[in-house]
This record gives sequence, structure tokens and C-alpha cells, in this order.
Amino acid sequence: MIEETSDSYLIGNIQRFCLQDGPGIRTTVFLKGCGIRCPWCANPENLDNKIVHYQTGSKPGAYGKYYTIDQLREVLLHDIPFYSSGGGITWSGGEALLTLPKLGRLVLDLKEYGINQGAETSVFVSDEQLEFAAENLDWFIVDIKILQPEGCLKFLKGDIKQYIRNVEKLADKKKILCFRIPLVEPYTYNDENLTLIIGFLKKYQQIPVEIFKVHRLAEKKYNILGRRMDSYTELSDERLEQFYERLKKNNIDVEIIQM
Amino acid sequence: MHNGKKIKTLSKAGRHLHMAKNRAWKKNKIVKQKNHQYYADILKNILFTKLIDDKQPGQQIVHMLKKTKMHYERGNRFYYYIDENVSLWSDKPVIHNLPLDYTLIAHASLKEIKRVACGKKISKEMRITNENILSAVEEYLLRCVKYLKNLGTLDAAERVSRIITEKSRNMEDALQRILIWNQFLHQSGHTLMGLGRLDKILDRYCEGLSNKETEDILTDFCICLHRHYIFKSQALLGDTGQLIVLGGLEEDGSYFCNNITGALLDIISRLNLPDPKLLLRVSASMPRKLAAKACSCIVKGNGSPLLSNDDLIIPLMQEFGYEKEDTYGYCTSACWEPLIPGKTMDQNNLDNVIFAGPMADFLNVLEQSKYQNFESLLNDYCKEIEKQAKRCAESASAIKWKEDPLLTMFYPDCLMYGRDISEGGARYNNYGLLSVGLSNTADALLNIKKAVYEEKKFTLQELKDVMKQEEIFKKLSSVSPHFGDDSDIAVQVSQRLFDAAKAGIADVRNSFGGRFKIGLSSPGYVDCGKKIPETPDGRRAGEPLGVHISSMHGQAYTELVSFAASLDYSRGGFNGNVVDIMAAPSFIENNFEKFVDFLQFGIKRGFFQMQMNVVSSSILLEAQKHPEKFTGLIVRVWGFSAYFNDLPEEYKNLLIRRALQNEGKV
Repeated sequence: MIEETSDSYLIGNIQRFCLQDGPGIRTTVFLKGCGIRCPWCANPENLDNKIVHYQTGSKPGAYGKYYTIDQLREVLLHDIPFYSSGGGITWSGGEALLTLPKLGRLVLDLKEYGINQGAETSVFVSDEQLEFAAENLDWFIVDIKILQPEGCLKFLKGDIKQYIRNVEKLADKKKILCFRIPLVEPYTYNDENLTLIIGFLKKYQQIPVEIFKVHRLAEKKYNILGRRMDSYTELSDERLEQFYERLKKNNIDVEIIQM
Repeated sequence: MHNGKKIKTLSKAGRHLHMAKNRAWKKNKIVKQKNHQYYADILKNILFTKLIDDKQPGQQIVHMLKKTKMHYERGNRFYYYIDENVSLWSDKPVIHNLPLDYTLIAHASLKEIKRVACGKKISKEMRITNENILSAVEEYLLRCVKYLKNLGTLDAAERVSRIITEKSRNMEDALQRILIWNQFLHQSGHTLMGLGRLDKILDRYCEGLSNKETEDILTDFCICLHRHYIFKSQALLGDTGQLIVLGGLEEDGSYFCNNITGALLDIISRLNLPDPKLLLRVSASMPRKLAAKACSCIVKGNGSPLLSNDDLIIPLMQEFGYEKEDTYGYCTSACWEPLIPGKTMDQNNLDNVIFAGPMADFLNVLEQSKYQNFESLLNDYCKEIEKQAKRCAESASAIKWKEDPLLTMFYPDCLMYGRDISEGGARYNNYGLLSVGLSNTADALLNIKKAVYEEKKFTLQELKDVMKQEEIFKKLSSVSPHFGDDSDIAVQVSQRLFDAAKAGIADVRNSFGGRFKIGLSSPGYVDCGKKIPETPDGRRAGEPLGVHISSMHGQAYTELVSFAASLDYSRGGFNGNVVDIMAAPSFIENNFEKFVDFLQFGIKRGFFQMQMNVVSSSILLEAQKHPEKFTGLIVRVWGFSAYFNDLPEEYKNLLIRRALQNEGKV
């Protein structure tokens, strides 16, 4: 394993043969560092831009590994034969858009190869960071979380104005592949927020929406990291269905997905 | 899946006992209460065959046909009954494990078969033998017609009657003929005989039949083939060899498939029976619709179809020396070994090269001074593999096969030159070896490379002591890179070992002058593993060796396929190379179109063969605890499909472990 140098970049994880992170068969790169703090976060190991060490029994492990750009390029090109039919690279995180400009050379190289690139993002990023991504990636899956300004600040530590502005910019460039809504009580699934979400989506009627209920599968990961997971309970299927029907009634192109 | 070497060494009495024990064991698993009767029947059978004069070739078959009882259950479209109490044994190994070329049987009358097998150009001795056998077949058929007429089943009686003098009128006629000869093969001790390319053979009967009619007829045929499941099974229940080969690349570059191809995939999806099994010859030029149909069948979890990549296999067969036009007609024997029906007597499972075999001895004599670098160590290990492969091939070369007039009749080269198939009368007479444990050995050597030569954590002399320390030993299994990674070094080390085995067999010729081939798939991963001490890949003594080309370390499917596609199977390395994948049903169901993409891109990337176990760990664990609730659960083992409940516990445990690994739960 190489150590941190000026030429190396910390990557959370690289998963090949990902089928749910965008079109076709994809390799998903989990980048480190995130500007917000979702209480239900499923990837707590990627919140900070540092290697996270853990211990399972007597077995030590670490989340994160340093790569040079050349090493990353090599790994990401392995599955080129499987990227036809729209597949390619998905940048995820953490917040992918925060780190992406640092990997600028690689993103441009992959673009040269004609490889489809997209990102899963919450778009709580600066204008420059958004600009780089919007310029160079093919599409974005954009999360919709808490649209209430106070809730957004209190729970996510995010600025709702920044979010709305960034969504508008991506939508103007027609680069939003779909919206993805994690449903978890009381944070995202409350009457006021759901009403705000529907109002928000009406502005983007042509963009499909995926909803899913947040599970607690990451609890084991929280435990080995020595952290406590928020005590939310999983949403019932009935409530999930109710919101699905509500979106349908509002002529929103919605699909329930498993995450 | 018989091991020819093993058979060769069995005495006549031992062979009786072996057969009796084997069959009684299988039967015992299913019908314990009938055990005593079954032993009695076996004994009766032994007495029966011992009394027969075996000097005249084919006399046993004649006698078998005379003694075979009839049985028909009303309502069946086809007549199909194996008299399990009248089957032949032999003091020599019987040629088996290959598909008969059913073309002549399916289309022609017995009269026509007689014309071919007993013509003026056929040597006198062979002609007399063939006449005797075919006359006995005619008598058997007449007896069958009479029996069916007495039962009042005139349709079935007429269909059997037509076999004697008329060519097949339709698909039902053709399938009835195939079933009759399939019965003869099973009763005469020809085990693991595949059905061949039935969609191709039956193509001429598709016209005029609706999809529904085709599917109804083939459904009845498949249900027939599933009968006598225990009798037909060999080393494990389900190991029947009843493999139907579908689709395939044509010499003009087009891809062949028809209504029967699709119908059989649909039928096996629907029936959910382990028999018959399907193999689909795939190619980059195959229609996506057919790839999707294959995925629909795979997702049902019955283990079919095994996918066999024509784009790779056909050129490899040509490079080895098979005629171009022959290679486009290839089938496989019971599982994965490519051969050519009607032209090859290739016996493909004669012994296992165990890559991990030399490891224990090798570790005992490791000296740092002798091996200054990893390259010299790898070189010496490869020499051991080369020697082992050569020994296996030389030992297999000496096998004497039982003369076989029944099979000989359907091999044009045998007829033309008047030479029995057991004496090398077929056009091709090559032998095949299997191999096992490449993954464990490659991982062990990669670990040594990293720990001893790169990180210098310990010396070669210290390696054995280090392996005794539990914590360090456990860690050995998680050191990367691994076999199955598409990194250059993982591919290179695996290839060097494979090439060593290929080099070992390259110059060995069998008694017919035939050559040897080898592949990276074997049914021996459990049994061979029992004999192998612990290996420095983190595998404990006696534990199973790696399954074919499979992921033991959570590699993505694309990575495993890329690894397999990076290996070089030329120079005789094409005797079956199966990428074996575990998948949860929901994973494929939720991503169906992308899974079809994966198959199509994988074919282009160049995997050799692929099979899948589509079942979740939770189902397997539940089935192990409560077998009564999962009587229909089918899994893929070795190269065939079988009921999970019928498997020995060690196979169940291995499947569960692999399913858990695949789901990231261990």
C-alpha cells in the first residue's frame, strides 16, 4: 500500500460490477469527505478525509487506501469491456463533488477514453466544485433530503439555499438523471418536508424520482468504528407506499428502489 | 463421473461390489426401506450376466434386450422404461461420458441403420455382430409394439412400430427413437451419456408445429428423461450426464438457434427438475433475446444452462488438431469437456492433476539458500506439477477399454475401417485430464512471494512454523492479490502453474496415438481436498480445494470473468474451464437487463465457460436445518444440477460457505 504523498489520493473504496449506481454496469468509487452530516448516514467511514482504522475481534482493518492517479486509472479501466450499454464510472462518497476537482486529471482522462461518468451527490458544495463536476460528468443522481431550512441546518449542517441553487444549475444543464429520496422518520419523512418535496419536484416534473426507505444495515459498521448510530426506526412499507401514491397523484415519475 | 484409473484397478469381483455398493448407497439415501430388495436385485443381476457367453461381441447386449421387461404407464406420450434389473457389467472400463450422435437414430428407421451398419463395405465380423444386435433391437421393438397394443395404447404402439421400417415423420417419432436408444445405453452400462445438440438434430421437425405443440412434446420428453434418476446417477445423486446441448456458432459465422432452443430453456425453467441439464453454446453473435432467455432460466436456480463460449472453444479445438468442420458440431461430455459426437471416443475425466499436491513435500525442503528469489521457487514448483501431470497421463494411457459394438455402430470411422471404438476406431481418440486446487496453490505461492521475498516477514524455513500459529495462518487467506484478481501477477502465477500441467501432458500419447488435454474444472475439490495437508493460503488440512474458477475473496463478477479471460487455454488447455458463480436470486431479478449485459459482455471478454448457483445463503441454511421443507431445492455441483437434500453434508457446507462469502457475510 502506498502512503500519503503529494501524488497520492485517499479513496474510501472501489466497487466493480455495481448495477444500481446509474446506467449499465459500473465501477463505483467512494471518495472521502462530506460537507453534511446525515444522522442516518450509511457510509460513516467516508465522512472525513482520513483513513479510519477499526478492529473486528483480533483482526485490524482500515477504511481507505491511497492511490496514485495512474493506479486509479488502471483499476477503473479494468472493466471497460463491461461499460458498453451506458455503463462507466460512478463517483460516490462521502460527497463526491467535494473531492472530484482534486482528481481532475483522472476525470479528464476518463472523459478522453469516452467513459460515461456520473456522481451520486447531495450538492452541498461550492460553486467551483459544482462547476467542475457539471462541466465534466455526464449525469448526476441528486439526493433530496431535508428541504426545511431549519431542519436542513440543524440535522444536516447544510445550507438549503446552496442546495436549491446547485440543483437549479444542474437542471438547467439537463444533467440530472434522477432524484433519490432517502425516507427516514422523523428527518425526511414528516408532513411538512414531504409537502415541500412535492412542491419542489413539481418544478422538475420531467426528472424521474427514486424513493427508498433507509435501513439499519450500517449499524454493524458503526459498532466496529466505535460510534453510535442514530436510533431511528425503519419506515414501514405502508408509509413508504403512502408517499409513493402521493407522488403518483402529483404526476411525478416515481419508483421504489431497494438500497 | 467415473475415474478411469480407478476403474482399471478394480478386480472383476471388486467391480461387482463397487457397483452394488454405489447403487445401493444411492438408493439407500432415498428409499431406505427398499434396501434389502435392492441388494437382492443387484445380486440377481450379477448372476444373470455371469452366465452369458461373452466371446461373441454383442451377445450380452442381445441377451439384455431379450430379457428386458416392458413397463408403460397410461397417459404417457412416449414409451420409456429402463429395466434396472437387467443391466450389463464389465470387467473392463466401458467407454462412457460422451454424447452419442443421435442424428441417424432420430431420423432413420432401424432398416436404414441396418443398411449403414451392416452394408457390404463393413468387415464380415463387424457386420455379423451388428446384424445380431440390430435383429435383437428389432425383436425388442416388436415385443414392445405387442405389449403396447395389448394395453390398448395404439398411438404409442404405432410410433414404436414405425421405428422398424419408416423414417421419422415428426418430432414425436424422433424423440421416441432417441429415448429407446437412450434406454439401451443406460442398461448396457454406458453411463453419463449426453443427448447432444437436440435443437440442431430436431430442427427439421419444427415446421408445422406451433410453439405450444413443440413445448408440450418436449416437456413430455424431459419428464421421461428424469425417470430412473437414481439408477442413472453416478458418484453423486444427480450426476446422470443427461446433458442437452443447445445453440451454437456455425461455420459461416452465423449463430444457430430455433424454437426448440428457446422451448427447452423455458421448459427447464418451468419444470424445475435437475434432469435433463442444459448447456447453451454461446457466442458474441447470439441474439440478445436468447441470452435473456438463458438468464431467465439461470435465475430459477436449477443450475441450467451452463454457458460454453464458442468464440473461444472452437478455435482452441482447431488449434489442437480437430478438423475445422468437426469443431462447429462440438458438444460436451456429461459436464464441460468439449468433444465431437460420432467422431471422438475422447475419454475426458481420466485423472486429476492436483496443483496443491506437491505443496507439503515442497514446504519440507524449502531452503532460503536454494531459492534466492521467488522465480526460482516458482520454477521448481512448476517442475513438480509437470511431473505429476505426466504421471497422470502416462497412467491413463494404459487403460484397456471394454469392446463396444453398440457404440461402434454409430461411429462412421469405426465402420469404415472395421475397428471397434475401444480399439481406437473413432476419428479422434484423445484423452482428457481434470485439475483441481489451482486457486489454493496460486494463492499460497503469491503469499510466499509477498511475505518471504517482498516484505521479508519470515524466511522459507520459518514458513512451516509460522503456519502453526493460528492468527498468522488465518491472515494468510486475506493477503492479496489472489487467484481470481485480474492483476498481472495473479494471472501470471496461475498461468505458469497451468502451463506446467500442459507441458507435462504435451508429449504423452495414449495407446491409440491420441493426445491429452487438461482443464481447470474438476469434481474433485472435496475428495482431493481431504488428502491435502494445510496449504499456505489459509486452507486447513482436509478442507475442500477451490471450486473450478471461482471467487474465494469476494471478487466482483466482472473481475473474475476478466481473470478467466486472461488465462491462455491453448496447447490442450481446453478440457473444461468453468467460471463458477454464486448469486442471490434477488440480485439478478432486480437487475435483469444488466445481468444480460454482463453475460453478453463476458462472452466478448472471453470467458471459456460459466455456470451459476442462484440461491441465497438464508435458503441454503434453512434447507440444511429443515430438509423436509425444501424437497425441490436444486443446486449446481461439479458440472451438474442436483437436489440440495441429496448432497453429502460436506457439499452442503461448502455451498453455504460460498453463498455467505458472495453475500459478504463472512
